[in-house]
This record gives sequence, structure tokens and C-alpha cells, in this order.
Amino acid sequence: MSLSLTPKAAEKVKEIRQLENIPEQGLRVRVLGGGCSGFTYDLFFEDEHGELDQTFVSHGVPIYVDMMSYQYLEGTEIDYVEGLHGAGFKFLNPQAQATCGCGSSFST
Amino acid sequence: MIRLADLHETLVEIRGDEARSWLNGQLTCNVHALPPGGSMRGLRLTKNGRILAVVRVLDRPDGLDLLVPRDRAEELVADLDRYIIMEDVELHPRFEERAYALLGEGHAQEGTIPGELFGQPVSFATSPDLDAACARHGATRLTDDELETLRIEAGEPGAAELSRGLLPQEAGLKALVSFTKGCYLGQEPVVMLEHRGRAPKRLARFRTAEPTHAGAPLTLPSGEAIGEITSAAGPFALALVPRRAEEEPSLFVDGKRALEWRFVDAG
Repeated sequence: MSLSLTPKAAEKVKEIRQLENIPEQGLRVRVLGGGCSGFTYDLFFEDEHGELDQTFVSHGVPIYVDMMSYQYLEGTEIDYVEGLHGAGFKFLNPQAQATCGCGSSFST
Repeated sequence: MIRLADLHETLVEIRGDEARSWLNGQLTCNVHALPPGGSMRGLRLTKNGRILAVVRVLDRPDGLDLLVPRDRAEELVADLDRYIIMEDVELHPRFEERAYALLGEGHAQEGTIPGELFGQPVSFATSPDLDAACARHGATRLTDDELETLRIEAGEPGAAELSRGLLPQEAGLKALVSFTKGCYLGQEPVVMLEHRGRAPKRLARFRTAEPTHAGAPLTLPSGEAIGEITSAAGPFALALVPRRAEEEPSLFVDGKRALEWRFVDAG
């Protein structure tokens, strides 16, 4: 099990890195307490990872996850979706039993 | 005269650099609006928007103090602890502490935090020994019956009502919900009800000619049963009134017409 990006999400991450002029940075993914369903996802770019991080590379994008967050994210695929209501990264998390309407929060 | 009321609440200290932002995502109130040295009330909800507990947040120089119902304190700490992942937040249960409120002229004393209890200005503090706290503040104890009377007169839900798994709008506690601060656990059903629906039942306060009691039947003028009294003290009583009765000018408590009734929205 791991944590991965769909090809479309990876392309979007690379596009944002280019725009921000940070082509070498990895994607930090973490879980925070909060949101309508109890847990919420957080994504940002980071230069380096810590010793205790889980690290992955998906379609050329390094991904860093701390050990606590990984308990909630194992097996998750991050997609990028565009629709009438906007665009954004979507977490397909097999551990999420329920997700709030906006999709940024989940419960286990 | 200063009176000291046992709130039947205990203390959980919340410390850490992210204590405020984390707690803001756990409660219905806007913790970021808490004034220095002040207090506010909020609700802890289930993810389905049902009230688990009414809590008080007190601002302290080194963090936040959370006052939680004593009989549910362990359950609430376990529930909150589950939502600390990597945040810089620590929960320190101080269950030996008993929370109290000082009421009456001169209630604002050193070491206490100002706030409101059933519409009255009060000061909050905690102590393991309420008799010693009375002596320290020059206060006399408010009995539990006196406190219960104040609660019911103010139209405030207590354990008898909150144990029924109510939404904030049903309990008359909408004032403890910020609809602008952003996400918190249980937000979605609360906001959906606020903007798209109507509460199936709401807490109401009744005034009756004679004292009544919890469990007394609540009926329409036709005699149709619609509920029961959940709390009563003297001429005042509380009950959950279903939506179909909300336009009724007269409702009957224990077979007698109530002198008046109104929905509550205690702040």
C-alpha cells in the first residue's frame, strides 16, 4: 500500500511547481483534526522530508507523509478534478467512511 | 451577596501553539474571537450535528481552559484526543478541579474569568474544594435546586434535554454556533438545516398556573399528545414542541392550559 497521484494530478502538481518556480519540491500531504467530518486534508510543497516521514514518488512527484497522517492516508489516491463547481485535488481514501459535501473533510 | 454555583463541570487544559486553531475546528463557536482573559460557550457536536456537550472556553495566558460536563468528561477528552494528529496541541485533564461560577454583586474577583450564566454576568473559576472556594471568595453556596430554577427560567437546556441528541437549532442554542468561521465537526447538517430546512422540534419554555413536573404530558387543545415536559421548576417548565404545533397559541401542560409559551434561543 502507498499513497499516489493520478497522472492528471501529477501533471497539475508539476504545472503548479513550474508556476511557483519550485520545480524540485515535493508534495507534503497530511491530515489535521477539523473539518465538518472530523479530519481534513492538507497539501503543500516542501523542500525536504524528515527521517520519520514515509516517502513515495508518483509519476515523478515526490510525496512526503508523516507517520501519524499516514495511518489515515494509506492506500489513498489523489486525483485532480474539474467541473461546474470548480476544480481541485480530490482524495480517494479507502479508509474514509464518510466525506463532507466539499470533499475536504472525512471521517473514519 | 456573592453566591457560588457548582457548575458540575470540570477542567481540561489545552496547551500548545496550535491550541486555538485546533479547538476552533472542534467546536461550534469562533474560538479566534475569544477576548484575552474572557470566556465563551460552544458546542461539541457529533459528525451528524447532534449536541454531545455544551462547553465553556476560557482564555488563559498560557493557553485555553475547557470546562466540560463532569459526568461526560472522560468521554469528551477521548473524543477530542482522537482529532489531534500532528498538531502542536496537548490535552491535560484536570478532573480533580470543579468548575464554579460566582454570581451577584462583587462576583468579579482576582483569578476568575468573566462570563455569562443564564443571562447573568458571572465569573468562572475552578477549585478541587468548593467549600474552600466559598471561604476564599466570601460566598455562600447556591444550591443545585436554585441553579436548576435559574436554568429553567432562562429557558436553557440541561442534561434532561441534551441527552435526547438534539441539533443546536432544536435545543435553542443557535447563538453558540458561528455560521461564518469555517469548518468544525458536525457543521454540515447544522448549516443545511439553517439554510434549507426547519427543525422538526424546538425547545420551548412554558409558564403554568401551578407547578408541574418532568414527564407531565404536553397536548394540543384537541387533546392530542405532542410531547412531555422535560424539566420543571415552580411556574416554569421546558419541553420540545414539534413543528406541527408551532403556530398553536395555546398548549396544555398536564391537562391545563399554559399561561404562556414561547420557543427559546438561549445565547
